[in-house]
Amino acid sequence: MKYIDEYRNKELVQLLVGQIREASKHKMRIMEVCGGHTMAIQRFGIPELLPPTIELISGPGCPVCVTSRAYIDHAIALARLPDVIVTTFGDLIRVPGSSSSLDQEKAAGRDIRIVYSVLDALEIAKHNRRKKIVFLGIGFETTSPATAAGILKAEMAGLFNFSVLSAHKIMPPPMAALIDAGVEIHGYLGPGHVSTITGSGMYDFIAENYGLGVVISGFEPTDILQSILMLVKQFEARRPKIEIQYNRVVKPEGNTKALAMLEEVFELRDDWWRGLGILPQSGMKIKEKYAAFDAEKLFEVTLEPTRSDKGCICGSILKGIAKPPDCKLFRKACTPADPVGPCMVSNEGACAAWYRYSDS
Amino acid sequence: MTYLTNNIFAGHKLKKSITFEPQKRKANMCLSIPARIESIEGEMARCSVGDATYNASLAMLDIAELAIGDYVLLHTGFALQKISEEEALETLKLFDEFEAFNEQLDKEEQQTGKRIV
Repeated sequence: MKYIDEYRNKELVQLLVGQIREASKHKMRIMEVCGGHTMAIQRFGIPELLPPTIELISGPGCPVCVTSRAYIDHAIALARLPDVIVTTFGDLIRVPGSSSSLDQEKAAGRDIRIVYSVLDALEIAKHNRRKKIVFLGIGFETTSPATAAGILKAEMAGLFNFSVLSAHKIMPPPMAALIDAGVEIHGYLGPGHVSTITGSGMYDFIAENYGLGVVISGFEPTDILQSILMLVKQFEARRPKIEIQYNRVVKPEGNTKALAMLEEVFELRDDWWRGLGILPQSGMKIKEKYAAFDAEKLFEVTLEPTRSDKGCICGSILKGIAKPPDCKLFRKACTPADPVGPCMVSNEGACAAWYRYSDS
Repeated sequence: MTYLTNNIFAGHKLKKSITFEPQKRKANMCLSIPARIESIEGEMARCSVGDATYNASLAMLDIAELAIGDYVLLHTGFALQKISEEEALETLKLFDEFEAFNEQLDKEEQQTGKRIV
């Protein structure tokens, strides 16, 4: 109970922990698939509050972490073209590609700019009409509607010097793939902000086809503990279902306007996930209708052969079959200041969260 | 300041509009923060998080249902969902506690020369 004194709602935390201990009879592994949950769980030392029957594992919930090295290589190749400005979220800048990173390329003089929003990239496009602005679109359903809105806005404003290199992905396929791959999971802590957009319906098949419960959780310690309690109760009663604990924000139908934008701009395609390989219909591709904004189609580049990671077990960590300290690079060759793999680069990555908040 | 507080709580640290100086900070895409609508012009709003102000698109929400003083969940420049003031303040309080706790740990780490967490 490392940081229990720091919690707000100490009594509520203790009450929930007591109820979980009482309810949990059988061994249960709960996976979270949201970077925000990874951080909160480690930060608050939640695993130490739980009875030995419950094990929490991190899944592929960090968009930076699951993005392929080939994508980084593609972005770098675009940045090396004349008159191209690459705009990216800061999260991606230090992720190693096969032989370089966006950070290194920036230092070498390429025009690579960190943006907070696709709207910033549009602004850059507006002020640099003679340049071609490529926005690196990564992220799950929380972030992809913003990219869709950006493309729609660019079209309306006639900003045809703006394009997107899409590596957007959707959450349900990896959740199913992990179960298919035989990873031992008895329930999912559902991502809070992804579900704000998607609603809860997209998880129904996990309860129906796989017999696993999903509880969409908020980010405070009491939210996470309450969600764990809900999952434990479902599991012990053998009644898996989809529940929303974070119901003060997440609606069952999601954000219909954002979903309509996604539908307008993107279609699904098979996509590669670190640790999981190619998953059918798991990535988002820009529709033909908006090909004028698709950097994949606009620029012809030759990519270097993708180099594999040296000793980095990020893939296994994303699958929940290894924990950061299992990696021989962890805390030695791989630290937040000098990361080897994406799980250490991103703040939401399991390795970075573990490094910061765990003693082992 | 640690790399973590730098990134995660950038919203609290930043005093200026981020829209035109995004390079000045390490933008973190994964974070969604509660922000208060200060003004609305077309589908854009000026939102505040503590002392920081942000430009936010309201394109994903029903603008007719939004008013100055409402709180929204802000993610990469877009308001994703209207939230209650109570929810917003609770979450911001959590951020502040995170930040204060991290700073305290950093101070201890500096003083003792040892890594605590």
